[in-house]
Amino acid sequence: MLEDTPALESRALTRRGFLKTSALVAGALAAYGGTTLLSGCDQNSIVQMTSNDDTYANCICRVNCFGACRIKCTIREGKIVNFAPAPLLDPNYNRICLRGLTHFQRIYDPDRILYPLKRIEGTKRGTNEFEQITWDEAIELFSSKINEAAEKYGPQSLGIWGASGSLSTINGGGGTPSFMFRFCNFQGATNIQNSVDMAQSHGQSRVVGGNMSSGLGDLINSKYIVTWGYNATESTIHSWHLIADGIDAGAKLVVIDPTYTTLASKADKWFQVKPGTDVALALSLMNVIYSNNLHDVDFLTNYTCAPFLVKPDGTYLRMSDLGMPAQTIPAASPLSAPTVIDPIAVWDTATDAAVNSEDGLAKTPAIEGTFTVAGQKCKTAFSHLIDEFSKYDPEFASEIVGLTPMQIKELALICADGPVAHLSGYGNQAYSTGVTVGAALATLPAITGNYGYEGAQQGTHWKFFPGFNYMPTMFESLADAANMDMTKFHSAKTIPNMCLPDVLEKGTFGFLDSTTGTYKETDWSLKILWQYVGNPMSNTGGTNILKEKVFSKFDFVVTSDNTFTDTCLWSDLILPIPHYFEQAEVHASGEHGFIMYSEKALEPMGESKSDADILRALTPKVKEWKFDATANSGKGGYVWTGEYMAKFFTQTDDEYTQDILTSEYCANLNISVDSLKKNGCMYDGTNPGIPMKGADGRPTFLTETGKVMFYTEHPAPRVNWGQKFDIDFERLPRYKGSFEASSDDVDLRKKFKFVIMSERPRFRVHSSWWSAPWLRELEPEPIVKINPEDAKSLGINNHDYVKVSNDRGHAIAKAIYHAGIRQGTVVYPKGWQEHQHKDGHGWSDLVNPEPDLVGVNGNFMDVLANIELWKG
Amino acid sequence: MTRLGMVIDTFRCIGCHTCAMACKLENNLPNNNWWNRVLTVGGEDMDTPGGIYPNLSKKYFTLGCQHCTNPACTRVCPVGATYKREEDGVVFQDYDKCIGCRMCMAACPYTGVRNFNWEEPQYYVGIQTGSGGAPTHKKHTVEKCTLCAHRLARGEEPACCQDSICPGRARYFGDFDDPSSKVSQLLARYGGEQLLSDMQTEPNIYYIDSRGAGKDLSIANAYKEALNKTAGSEAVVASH
Ligand code: SF4
Ligand code: SF4
Ligand code: SF4
Repeated sequence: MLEDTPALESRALTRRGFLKTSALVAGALAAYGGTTLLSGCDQNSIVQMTSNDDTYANCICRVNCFGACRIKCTIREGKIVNFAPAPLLDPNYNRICLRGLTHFQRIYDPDRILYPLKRIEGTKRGTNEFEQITWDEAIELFSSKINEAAEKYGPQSLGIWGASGSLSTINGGGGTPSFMFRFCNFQGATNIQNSVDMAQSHGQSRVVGGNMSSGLGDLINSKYIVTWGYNATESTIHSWHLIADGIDAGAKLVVIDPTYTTLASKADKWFQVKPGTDVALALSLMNVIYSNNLHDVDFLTNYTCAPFLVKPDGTYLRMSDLGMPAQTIPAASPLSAPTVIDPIAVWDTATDAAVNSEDGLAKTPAIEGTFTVAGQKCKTAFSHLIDEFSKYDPEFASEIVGLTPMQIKELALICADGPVAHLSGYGNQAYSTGVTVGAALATLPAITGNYGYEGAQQGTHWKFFPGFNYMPTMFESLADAANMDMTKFHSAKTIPNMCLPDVLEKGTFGFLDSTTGTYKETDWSLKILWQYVGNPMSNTGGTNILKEKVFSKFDFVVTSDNTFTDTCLWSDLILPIPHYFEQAEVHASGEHGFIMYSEKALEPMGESKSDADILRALTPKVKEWKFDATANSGKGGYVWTGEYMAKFFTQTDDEYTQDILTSEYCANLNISVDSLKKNGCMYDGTNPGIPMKGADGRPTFLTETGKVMFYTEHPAPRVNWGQKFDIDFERLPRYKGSFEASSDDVDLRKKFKFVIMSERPRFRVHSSWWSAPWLRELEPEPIVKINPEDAKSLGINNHDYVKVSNDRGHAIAKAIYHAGIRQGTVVYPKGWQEHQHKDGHGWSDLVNPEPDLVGVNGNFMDVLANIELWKG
Repeated sequence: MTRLGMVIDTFRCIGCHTCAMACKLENNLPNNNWWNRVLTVGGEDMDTPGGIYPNLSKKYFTLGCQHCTNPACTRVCPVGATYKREEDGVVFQDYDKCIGCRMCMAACPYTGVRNFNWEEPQYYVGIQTGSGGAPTHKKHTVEKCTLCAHRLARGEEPACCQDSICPGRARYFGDFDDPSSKVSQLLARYGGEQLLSDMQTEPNIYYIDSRGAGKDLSIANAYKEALNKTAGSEAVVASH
């Protein structure tokens, strides 16, 4: 009935004891010396301290939990000893969490990486045989590897893979204009894109051009808060009180989730959908809304593509089809494309003719019907959508989504009774069908005009600062960028990490040939891997495949990190980096609308260097390459310019950061390094809680037409390499079974009985904090939550260890009976390192690393497996 | 008079343990020692719901010393190491006086809120964490929540109730003898439950449900039931 923290049952499990259970980590301790540098921070002997001379620093917690908490750190006698929420400009967003309070355990982690480590010559990767080397040796080793590979295979042979372990600016990952990004471009290395949680935004962008969420502060204006695949009370706990504020202000909370989450326990209604079926549900909701005449004709007519005419070939009827020549405006710069002006046509019922949708003369455009124009039968976009959602009446959809027809109707009425805030997490898009989820969820509110006013919104709540200037990552200087001096321009090619097994196997990737406009398989050798701000071995799907088909194919693997992750274990060279609070940086990404300066609370520990400083140390030895068409006896190739890369990395952190903050956007908001240093925290222009509406009070969308484009004429995959996909399928939000979780493959479903879903627990962020002992007291070991009925039918008792396995691998965990788990599914909290699991295999073993060809996105929830009692 | 205590809103509480962690950090608690814990009302394990689909329910509440108006613990302490402070109602614990007889632990009906250091306290990281001023832990003494007495002395709230610490904004601290205090107002508005109210201890930690959604799920009943079930075994909420 009443359950305490597991810590109390596991008193004996100290961190040391825990580590001792792992031969691997014990080895690591032996190899790199343990606590020697941490005098004063040894275990078990407390140092008496006095707080009289305490100093403080406001630092930003930079992980990817969306929190972006500003934390007031206390420094006492040279040690960081306390953490508390530091003020943001709006106190309602002041925050910290249980993890943020334990940063000192990451900083003073006895197993922290403090010196460069090299895999001992002659040992195998992954066997944890490392020796300490000097930075000089490390730089010499790394740079000579880069140079040798570049000489032999070209500079693209260096692949740089950053994830979201830090989302700050100069040392950030996750698409920030970091120093590393500049290095990647200038070196002509390969940018390995961490393809995670990007499908939804791709689908959403097709329809509304971007994220239409107005921030959680707007929830106080909503009548309903409807969450889709959003485990807010677990993965983004700081967002909960803003949802609760909405509820206090009168909103009803409606949770759509296969799992009875804590959020579901707070909800007025909980709909336990089947995993991977949100698109079918959204289509069925549209079906009910439309058949009950609850759709908003005015909104559809004026703010969406509903009246746009579609030709039989699937593209829009444009004015050029009607004899009005298209105009081409030349590209403004070598980096942009020319603009073609050729408006889409609509059917004007007043004149019974196809007319220009943009000149404002069509007073009564038809949103439904098929009309013959210039001999072609053209159907409105809305009629296409109606055709699609008509297939999903509640009776039919019921079977697919696992709700009763009554439940679907009930939910549809809620969706039609706005303002509704549709809040998305990232759970529902981590299936092979993730793009259509983004498209369908962005379309649903358009049917009822639920956009552009107080309380009405749809989207996720991770946001990226719109004010960054990316030119410094590509041009040698801001002046070169202003002049568009293409002789001073440098760029790298991008390959999604999910394509790596294939690229490494074939040695080619499809890149756009700008002369033909087609994608051409191009020779592409990857030889050296540099991973920063990430732990792909733990967080990318299919660990065994990653080891076998990715890591083992690289000649040399380098990781910069400060904690000994699974990825470090599989590296040849490990470079120690500082903790977040040991370096100053600007931070601008998260869920609240503030850009902040993160002060330096401590000196970098041991010999750690920031990634930017590593680049400053490395680039004097990294050769600069230039493509020469005459090289290689006329075949073309890269030749050394005789110079080194250091000349591009002479700026200080502040100078470079100022460059990437030099934009009109920043200038309007007075955002600069100096002003951020002075103010600490500033509004970033995406202020939380402001409805997404234009100056005239009407909704504005970020699409080319400024309208909701639920019909996409030319759908593109998120990353294009010339792959074939079903274009017509992608034109509308359409449902299909996913690779595994909602697969239509009957045999596959028979072979594997359970859908394996992960959750992002409050005890870690991805794998960050995997070793923090206070968090491990609360959550000592990997568990898997299973419905008791399912468990009993398999002879599994509560707390038994179970083996969860499929063709890709297995993981062992303790089974926890949880009546709120949908039967046929299980849920595991993610982020453990392999050695923390019994028998050394982790959850990521089970995940399918194969990309779907449109989303090219991590399929973390799209996993089938079987479960059995583990016999040890 | 001043009667300090807390109100915990179980609708807003999501069992995240941030308050428990704030306590641990502020008071530099030794390994495996928690003065403020998060309990799940629901299934057999932490974070699991009770009931059977679709009739599921789950709630959380946090549990530490209740700073009783009529404490069971202070009466039995032979040396006056634990006592109720006249001026503010804090039930204090003086490590220097404590002889480690553990009478107070036996007397307190809220199992687990008092902790005994059987061994020399151990720390993962050997620094004194927290804002400063918390007493140093000692072997063979009993310890527990003091409402962060060292912070109160500086005019600050307890660490677990400090400004913006609770991600759910579920925790309130104040003086129940002051009718204009936030905590008094919350009680006036929502009622509020005390744990083991039939034990005559008169706890000063109240649990409210601001939504009323889970009114049928009484924290107090669940707590009592759990204690009865495990009477003598200390299994569920004990801190041995
Ligand atoms: S982990 Fe996230 S919520 Fe916690 S302190 Fe860091 S940024 Fe804040
Ligand atoms: S910090 Fe707040 S929400 Fe989290 S467990 Fe404590 S009271 Fe509950
Ligand atoms: S809860 Fe227990 S320890 Fe705290 S005052 Fe009441 S009886 Fe004493």
